[in-house]
Amino acid sequence: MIAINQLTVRFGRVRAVDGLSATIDKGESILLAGANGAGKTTLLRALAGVLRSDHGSIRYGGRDADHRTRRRIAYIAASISLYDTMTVKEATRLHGHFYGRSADWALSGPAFPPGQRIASMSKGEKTIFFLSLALAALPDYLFVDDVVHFLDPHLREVFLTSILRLIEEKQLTVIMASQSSFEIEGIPERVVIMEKGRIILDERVDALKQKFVKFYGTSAPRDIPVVFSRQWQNSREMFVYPYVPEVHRLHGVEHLSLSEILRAFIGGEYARH
Amino acid sequence: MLAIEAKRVLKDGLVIFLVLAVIVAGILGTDHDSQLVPALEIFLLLYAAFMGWSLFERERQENAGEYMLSLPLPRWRLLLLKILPRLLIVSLILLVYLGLYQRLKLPAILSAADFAILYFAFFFLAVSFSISLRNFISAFFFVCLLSVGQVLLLQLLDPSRELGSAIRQSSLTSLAFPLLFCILFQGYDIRPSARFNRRLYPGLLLISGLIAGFLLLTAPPNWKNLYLTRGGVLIKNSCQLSEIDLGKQRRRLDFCLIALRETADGRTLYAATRKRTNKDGCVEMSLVSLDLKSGDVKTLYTIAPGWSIAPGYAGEIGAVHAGTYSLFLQHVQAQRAMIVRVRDSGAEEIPIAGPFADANISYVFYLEGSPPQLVLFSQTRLYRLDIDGKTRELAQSKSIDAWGDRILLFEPSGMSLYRIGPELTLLRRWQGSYVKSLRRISGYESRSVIVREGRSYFWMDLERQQEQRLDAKSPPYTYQQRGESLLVVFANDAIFTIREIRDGRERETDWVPGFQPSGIRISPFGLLVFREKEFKVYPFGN
Repeated sequence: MIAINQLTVRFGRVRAVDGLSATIDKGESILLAGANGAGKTTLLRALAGVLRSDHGSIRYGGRDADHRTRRRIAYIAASISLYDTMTVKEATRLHGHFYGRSADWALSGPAFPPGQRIASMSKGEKTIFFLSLALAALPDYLFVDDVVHFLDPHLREVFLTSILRLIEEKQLTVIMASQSSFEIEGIPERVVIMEKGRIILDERVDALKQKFVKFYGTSAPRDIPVVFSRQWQNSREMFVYPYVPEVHRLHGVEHLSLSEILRAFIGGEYARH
Repeated sequence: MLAIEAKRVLKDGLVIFLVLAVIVAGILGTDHDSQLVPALEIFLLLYAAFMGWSLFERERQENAGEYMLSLPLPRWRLLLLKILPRLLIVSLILLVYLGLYQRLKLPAILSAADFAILYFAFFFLAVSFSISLRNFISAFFFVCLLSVGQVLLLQLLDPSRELGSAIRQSSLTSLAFPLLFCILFQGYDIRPSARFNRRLYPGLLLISGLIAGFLLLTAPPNWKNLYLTRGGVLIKNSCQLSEIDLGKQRRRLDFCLIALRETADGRTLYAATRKRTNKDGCVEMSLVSLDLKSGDVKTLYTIAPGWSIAPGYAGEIGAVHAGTYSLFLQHVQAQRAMIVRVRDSGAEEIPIAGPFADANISYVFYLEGSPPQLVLFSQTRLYRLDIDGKTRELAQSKSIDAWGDRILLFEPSGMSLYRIGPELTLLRRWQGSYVKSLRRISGYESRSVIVREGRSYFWMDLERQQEQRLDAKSPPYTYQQRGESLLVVFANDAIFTIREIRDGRERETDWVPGFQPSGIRISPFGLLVFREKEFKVYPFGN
């Protein structure tokens, strides 16, 4: 379990993560969403120990985060931070030295020649190579920043299958930062949406889908909690959250996909009601 | 990681080995060209600084900083893994250089040890800037400023300081900078280096200020006068303070010590203290005893305002007899005088009745008795002063030599040896144009004295009333009786020849202090020469 308590990370005067608290259970897979600058990357970096918190704490399985807990974490940064001049063999040896390497666990993806330099890989290849390194260490926690879009459909399939397998077999805890859920549909069971360093929505995906509906009209009755709205042809498209039974009195009520919900929250084209 | 890092650093090091080889070939080819050796040394210092500064250069270039920081390592271990291979290669290159230095006897500016210390100081100082400065030239500038700047400051504050000693001290204090870096690195993360700098630079400034303050505070003052005791304890005096050098420890006193007189057992030194005041300039403050073993100072008597030691040579004014220190004090304005006698148990004032003032007293003989009397030498008069204020002329002389109760008076027709008492008792007289041989400063009387008649020199034992010819090509510079030996010092520029005369045999030794002294002191312990903050002692026990 990961327990985040009042976590604050500042960049100068800007609070990139502002007093954030959350609990993540073992084996849970979370989609961390939010607009640019919401604090997703900062949160993942703090969880991976790359950033030090200015305030608050992070605990893994009841233990304060330190270099020992980092041994159980696989962190794939958005920049795919690796030593570019290293060969596949050197990088594998280096990573294996610190994290260990399971002989019977590997990504079934492209085979990289041991002498190939990382610098010569495409961004997608680099991503899948790093993922294969990280997952071969059988981590307890996987934090993936916004990198899945680098992968082609085949590699994405390989990647997602592998993660699902690890979640099932090893109860891997996954937090993936992404602007949309389209690329990782099927993996997250919980959605956390951030804005200005704080969590503005934290729901299980199935519950969220149930609680988030939209309808069309010119104005919303007072007892309906409309959170966003936008002009749609001759009427307004209004988004209701959380769901109230009274919504069904209205015309054209629809449940939404996760992608649409995220777009409403972070798309920018929807006005806050 | 260690192996991978070492491999990379070694790869870079190969280039350095190549450059090193080219420069060495140049030196050998030009018959040990002395201009190429400093170039080699500067190149190596640049290399050491580069290796320190480029600690995280690879992570910067390859965008691997985030990966490095996410590794399951405590920051200190990460730092160690980064530094160790570099330190190894840097040491290897230094070893190669030192090997060449020894083998080829390179005409280098610095000694091998001093260069090695400076080389490592450059490496570690550059490590301090490995995160904060992206530009190596700036980093090298700061490294030079902190290291070489400190050496220059040390030499400026203490010109007598050897370069090697200044390098050693500056390198030691420079360690505070990488230490601060290591402490701050414990909290280092992926945030922009400006955040790290906000902590590093105030720390660097603070440490620099502390080092500069420490150097200024501990810089030796310009000693005006040095004193060497019978046991070899060195006492340095400036107008404002004194320093007692007891060998293992030094003790500073915030006053100047004058009229120093040592007890016969060499355990205690009595002195008057003098201090500069804004109102009256330098004034006598107190009489103190100084324990020559521990350096402890005990104030025995406070001199009242207006009272001072006779303005002659203060060293000859005080006297120690049977553990009692006697000092003749005058109040010039009030035309009063008194003898102050101090011992560990307390002080006693013996006032001289009536008005008395003599500004030219240069020698005081204390006649124990009841009541005590004084015999004063005040060029050209020798007279007796009773405590009831009466004075009586004893003799006329341009100069004197004294030993205990013996006094050698130089008169136009010859010289006479007297025993001093209430009256002068003539012991022996020599006819001829004898002149006192100049004796450079000593706080210690000498049983034997040197006199000159025409071009001939003689040494005379005042106790045994014996004289002997002294074979001297040049005038003796100074001399001192030490037990049964008479030590005569001749000086020729900065070379001193010490002749020991004992039991009719003579032995000469040349001594080169290594600088032209501006002052000299002789005591039974040895010969002390000094110039500003520099000094050297030649012990006669050698």
